[in-house]
Amino acid sequence: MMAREFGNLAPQGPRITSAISRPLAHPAPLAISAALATAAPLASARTDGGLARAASTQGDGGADAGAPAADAAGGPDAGPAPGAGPGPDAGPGPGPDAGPAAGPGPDAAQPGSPAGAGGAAPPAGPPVNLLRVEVEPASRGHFPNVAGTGAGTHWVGAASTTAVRPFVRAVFDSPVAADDPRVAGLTWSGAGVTPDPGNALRAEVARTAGKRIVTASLGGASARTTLWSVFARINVTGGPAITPFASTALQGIPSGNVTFSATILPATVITDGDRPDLAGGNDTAPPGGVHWTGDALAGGADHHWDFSRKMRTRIVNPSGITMAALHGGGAHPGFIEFGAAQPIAYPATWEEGNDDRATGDENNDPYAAAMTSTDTPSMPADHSAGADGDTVEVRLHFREFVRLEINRRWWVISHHFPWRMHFRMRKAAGRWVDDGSDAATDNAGF
Amino acid sequence: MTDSIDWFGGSPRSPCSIDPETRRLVEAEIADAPQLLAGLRRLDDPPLAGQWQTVMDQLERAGASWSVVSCLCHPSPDVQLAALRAIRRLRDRRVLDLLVRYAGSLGGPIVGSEEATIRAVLRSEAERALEALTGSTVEVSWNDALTAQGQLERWRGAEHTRKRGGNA
Repeated sequence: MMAREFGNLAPQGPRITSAISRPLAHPAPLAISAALATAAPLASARTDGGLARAASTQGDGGADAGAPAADAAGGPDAGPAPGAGPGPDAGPGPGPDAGPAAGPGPDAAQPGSPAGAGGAAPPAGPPVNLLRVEVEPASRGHFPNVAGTGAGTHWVGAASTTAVRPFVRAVFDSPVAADDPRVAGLTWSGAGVTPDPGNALRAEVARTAGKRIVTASLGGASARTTLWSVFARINVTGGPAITPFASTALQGIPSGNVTFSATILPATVITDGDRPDLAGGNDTAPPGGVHWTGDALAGGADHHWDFSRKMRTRIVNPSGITMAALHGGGAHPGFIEFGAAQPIAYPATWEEGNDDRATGDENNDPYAAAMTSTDTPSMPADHSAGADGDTVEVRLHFREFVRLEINRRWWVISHHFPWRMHFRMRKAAGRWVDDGSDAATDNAGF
Repeated sequence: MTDSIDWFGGSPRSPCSIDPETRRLVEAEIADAPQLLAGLRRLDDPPLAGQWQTVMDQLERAGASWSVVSCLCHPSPDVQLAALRAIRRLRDRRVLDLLVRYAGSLGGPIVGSEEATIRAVLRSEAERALEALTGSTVEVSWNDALTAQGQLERWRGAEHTRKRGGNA
């Protein structure tokens, strides 16, 4: 799937050219109309592609520019998609972004002759003037309008190869039907833009990662807007690796480390002079209740962009050593609290990171530097616990991901990158020692 | 005045408590600066991360070292981290004792994933802040709580001696 995702990053030139050159007066091919009509609603794409895919054992990784094969990862094309239930993006409801993206900026119509004002055929009514192009209301649930840093109009959504694509529409100064002869000359242009064969006033826009300037032209006038399909490619920059087993007078300490960076696509969503303004602190807390330590997951984001992490855990403790005996945390949270929280499962909500309640281990400001995340899991166990020959294994599984707050709503904009650490300890000569701990970029062996 | 700030009363999740003398110094610092008091109150919410960074920037710009160091006792590790960085930049040696006390709370093994990572970041930043305030290198064996506390106390004693010797 990742291969398809990035294979589709290239502009879809030939398809667009043929689509635009298709005479608009011709009837729509039925097959295309049917395909559009049966496109899965985003909410179901989310549920099916998100959680169901999370449980899948099919590879979802592979060619993500160096990302390892994932044995259980979903992706943003699983529905950039927020979690189960009737979330705010489950429908194209009239949210705060539902208003028309008017404005006197460069995207407003450039003057031309009013359509229907001339030519041989008599107009069907008063001439109509093209005012603007905007994402149509039904698509604003997943492509809301975002204020820009310049004068252009911007609509932002999570990139996807499978979720429903957004439609844009041309807006005129008076209501006009798609088959009105006054708009018969309307044309659409732009990479990734496919006119709707069944409605000349609208066009479908590709949703793979990219910036797409959509222009409508009529009678010498034109108007445009920009759609941004945003994706974050997660890169492993170190590990995951098990660090040398440490031992103090009181504890044996297995630990490991991993570091990630994220490449934002298209890069211009960060660098363009006129871009959607997604800089600065987040407006709403990210989803989720509390971390297993009791800290609120609301603390897991400090910008609109956020590196986050899901976690699931299991303790294999064949000798039944009590968590109080293993504790290892001293005055800090240790096996008592960690054990009480077992088993920890991946959160059902797609955008929730249940191992992300602070930001000191991340850089979430892609305007300052590359987004990064680091993790150094550790599972110290008291030497006083257990007897020689006992073993304890703690399986820590993770999914690293990037989320983006768009108009006060959080969206996953990356694949869920799987990785794990299995800490294995054995008691020997009264002390815990390493017993073959390992780490990998998969979620195998839970 | 600071009685109206919830986290000044301590929290089970706070790494330290604000002693009466520090509280008095904070109140003296903010007595004529209602915007600073308002900022400290905003840290109660719990704050969105962008908000606490704004508060910390405000305290730092005002040179409110006691208010900043009091934030080490905030339950949020991100607020603590921002406070450590502000302390390092302010270089106000008066807050050294509270900083040492806070650093002493960071020792010991940590079970977890992000929990352990954040603690390691706080330890590193605490070392940098201690060094910025004194110019002296500090090395701590963090994995053992008692050892870490002992090392920090000895380091503080040596630093005190060095200062009295005329180096400060």
